[in-house]
Amino acid sequence: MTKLRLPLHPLKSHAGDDAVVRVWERVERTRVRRVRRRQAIKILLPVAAAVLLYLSLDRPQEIHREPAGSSLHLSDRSQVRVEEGSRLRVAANSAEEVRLVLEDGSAAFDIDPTEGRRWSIDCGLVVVEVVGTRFSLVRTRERVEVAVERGAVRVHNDEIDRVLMAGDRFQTGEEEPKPIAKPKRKRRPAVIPAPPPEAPPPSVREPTFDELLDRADLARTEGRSRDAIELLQQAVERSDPRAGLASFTLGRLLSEEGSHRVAAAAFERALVLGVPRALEESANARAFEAHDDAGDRSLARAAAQRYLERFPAGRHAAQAREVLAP
Amino acid sequence: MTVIPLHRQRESSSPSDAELIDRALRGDPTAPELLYFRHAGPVLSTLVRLFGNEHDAEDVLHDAFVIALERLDQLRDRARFRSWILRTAIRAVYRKERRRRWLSLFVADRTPAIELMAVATPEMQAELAELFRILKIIPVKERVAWSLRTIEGYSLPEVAEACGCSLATAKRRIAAAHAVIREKIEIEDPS
Repeated sequence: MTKLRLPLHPLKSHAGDDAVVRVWERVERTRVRRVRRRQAIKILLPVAAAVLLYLSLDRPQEIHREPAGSSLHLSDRSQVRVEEGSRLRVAANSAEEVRLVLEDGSAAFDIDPTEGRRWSIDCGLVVVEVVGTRFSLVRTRERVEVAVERGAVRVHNDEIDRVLMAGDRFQTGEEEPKPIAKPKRKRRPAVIPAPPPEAPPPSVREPTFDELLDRADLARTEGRSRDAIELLQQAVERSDPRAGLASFTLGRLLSEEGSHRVAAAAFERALVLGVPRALEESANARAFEAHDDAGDRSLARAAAQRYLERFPAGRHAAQAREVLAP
Repeated sequence: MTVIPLHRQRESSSPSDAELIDRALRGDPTAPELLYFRHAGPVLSTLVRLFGNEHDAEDVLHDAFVIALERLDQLRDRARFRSWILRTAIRAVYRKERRRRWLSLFVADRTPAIELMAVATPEMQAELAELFRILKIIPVKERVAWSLRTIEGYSLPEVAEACGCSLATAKRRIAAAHAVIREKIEIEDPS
């Protein structure tokens, strides 16, 4: 056996100049190809991202049992807080509509109404349609509980159809919504308080539309209906896209106060100003009801006729026909 | 008039590797070519001796330079381009061997025949053919370390640097490969 002597590198290999030149030509071709590919990717990537984003809009998403709850922040500033152990599924999400399914547990919603998207949450026993609001939902196997903090929601199923306003709490099985318990007033401390510093000059700034609604909601929650009505009347006069909603709320409060004629006017104004789609049927129905309650037969008939034209198979169709009956 | 290819032109100042890399990064289209032709020959020769054939060696040289020229900005010590390109080439060897091993599960091994015959005597040619046959069955990382040490004559630190491993690992790999080879061929101890 021949003993190989090391190192072997003095052995000539076939790595001649031709091979080196050949490889360089390949390297050059590859480099050019890669540059072109990178340029194409730079162009195509944003397009692909846009397409994916578009496709994902209608793709159902699911939020499973998060260990410590989770929050959804949407581009339209709306927020959904899902509590620990809850299950919320996004069934549809498009520019026109957001449809969620609360399968179990509880969630709190803060929806921005100015974007004009229709929001609904299917809770099994009832469907909650959102009208720009802050509210919470609790779903268990036996019951669904809705508590509205601000704005309004429409709760409906085959048997019921109700609009809940700020301060209302609704639970399946109950006939009428209950107001949320009034916040307890703090007791004054026993000690004599020190004289307050010189009072600041009264603010001359007008409250914003949101502040008016918040104050009206608070007043209503605390049982100060007259204050709430006054604040809502101010809000209706503002040029805000939610003025129609404020007018609808005003009509509800006036109806509760027994001021049916003024309530009917508020509902009519709400329809003129425009209310969210979820409230359209309710506003039309409440308008003919309020006219009817006020004893204005002709106005009630006209409103009932309008309701039937728009919602021939609506929930209040039978009642509208009664108003129209001779 | 004879046109002298760019890579054969002798620049009067003969720029260093670091200068060429700077020029390449600034967009000088001639700098990568000069860099390539300065180092490709020796690296290709090493690769041919590693594989025992020119075909695989050219593939790896191509892959190594495509990667290296794309990542010049990542080279910290620009004066050490030679060792960097060799390390890049060795990694390309590992990748190629992994691919070949995986493919061999589905298709017959098409490794080209040994071409490294050169000036050796007929007896030595037979020994070399046997050596490369054995090398083929040795794990690639051990084979590369052993080849760099015994065939190329690299120092142990150079082997470790090229293989991207510690000195001890390089020694272990060389010893493991040598143990297999020594069973078949009478060969000098690489250490």
